[in-house]
Amino acid sequence: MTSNQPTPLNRRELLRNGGLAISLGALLAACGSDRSGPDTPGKIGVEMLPEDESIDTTVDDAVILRTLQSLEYTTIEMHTILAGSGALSGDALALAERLITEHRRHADEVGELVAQAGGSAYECANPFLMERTVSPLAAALEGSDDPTRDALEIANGFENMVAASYQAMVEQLSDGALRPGAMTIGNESARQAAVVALATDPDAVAPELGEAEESEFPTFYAIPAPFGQLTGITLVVGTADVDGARTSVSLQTPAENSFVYNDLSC
Amino acid sequence: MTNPAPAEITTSDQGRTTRRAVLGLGAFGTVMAAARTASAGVGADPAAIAQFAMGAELAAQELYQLADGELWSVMAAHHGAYAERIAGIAGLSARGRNEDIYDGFADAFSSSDPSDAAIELENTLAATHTELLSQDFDLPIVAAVASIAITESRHAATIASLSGADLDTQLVNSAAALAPEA
Repeated sequence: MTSNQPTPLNRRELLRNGGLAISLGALLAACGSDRSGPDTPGKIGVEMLPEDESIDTTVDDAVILRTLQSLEYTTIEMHTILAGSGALSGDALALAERLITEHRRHADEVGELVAQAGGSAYECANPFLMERTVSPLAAALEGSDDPTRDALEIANGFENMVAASYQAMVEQLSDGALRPGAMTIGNESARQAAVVALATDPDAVAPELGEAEESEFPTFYAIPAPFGQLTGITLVVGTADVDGARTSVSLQTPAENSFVYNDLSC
Repeated sequence: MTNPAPAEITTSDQGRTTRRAVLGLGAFGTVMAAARTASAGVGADPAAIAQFAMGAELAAQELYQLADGELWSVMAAHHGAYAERIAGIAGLSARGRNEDIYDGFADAFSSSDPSDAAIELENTLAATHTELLSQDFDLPIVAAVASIAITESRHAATIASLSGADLDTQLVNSAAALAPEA
């Protein structure tokens, strides 16, 4: 999820390619003699599921909502780092602080939906995302050649990722009664994404009204497309190394490896 | 059917004051009440719900076509795309705007600055689609409706931001949903 390549493979590509490599490896190994090891079937893929195999990996509505709740707490962590970094000031800092308040409220509201789905609230950040997104981004921000640019980019990235996650996960809720509540929070996340985009660049309204100049950094529009987008977001932050490459971190909507299963606790 | 209410009123919820609340519904509330009445009787028939949602999008498209400006042209194109998407999934012809919505907003969209009306329209449409998600639709419909609702929310926030509305108006939607009622 983190690299110093300008255009890294995203998580799904890595999983797909990793799975392919392991599949081929398993095929070749099966052709050899003198094989030894456990008789139980192995798993194919990379970091698809929690390492503890005793954990129930059933994905139900509570798991989906617990995952969204963990995203809210992860985003609170990220915004708190941005607000405390000194990279933001004035209106931008005030907006970051308002976003923290909004995500706290959303976290509580999703917690109520978790209870409605028969699950237990998960009131902490997502460990998978903390390790692979928040930590490397915080490190890159600390040594950045332009902390304000990076802080705004990170804020944009997280708001868009959260909005896309609600859109993606609402589709997976089996109980229709849960969808409006979750989507209402997703809608507000999308509004936050739009407001942050315009606070970063008042001209970044929509691509149809004029596209930003090509840059190594992503451009975030208030209205990026006519329909909600679920594609991954690659953030490019920090100081360039000797090869001119900066830290890049891919933000994705949740999948099996970042789900907060019912057996997991903070 | 109404816009999904917060499960519980909290201190932070009390800060979610919007222009709509300040105005006490106002003229747009009257328009929406009329549209809601017009939609009554549709019930839970998926085809009728799709027709209702599509008609609302066609009304939005034609309202934005009354306004003068590039942003409004983009909005008109988006709402036209939503009507087409809903029609395509439901097997309908993308024709037949919601006359109550259109008539209620036409004067405001013909004015020199339709921003307030546009915010109210986008908020209402987003709330309406969000509420429709509770229906027992097939996955492609749920996916399309979620995608539309989330972008209409961006529309509302963007117009609010560009028109200088306060941050609460930009971030929060307290509009009531237009929804088919049995």
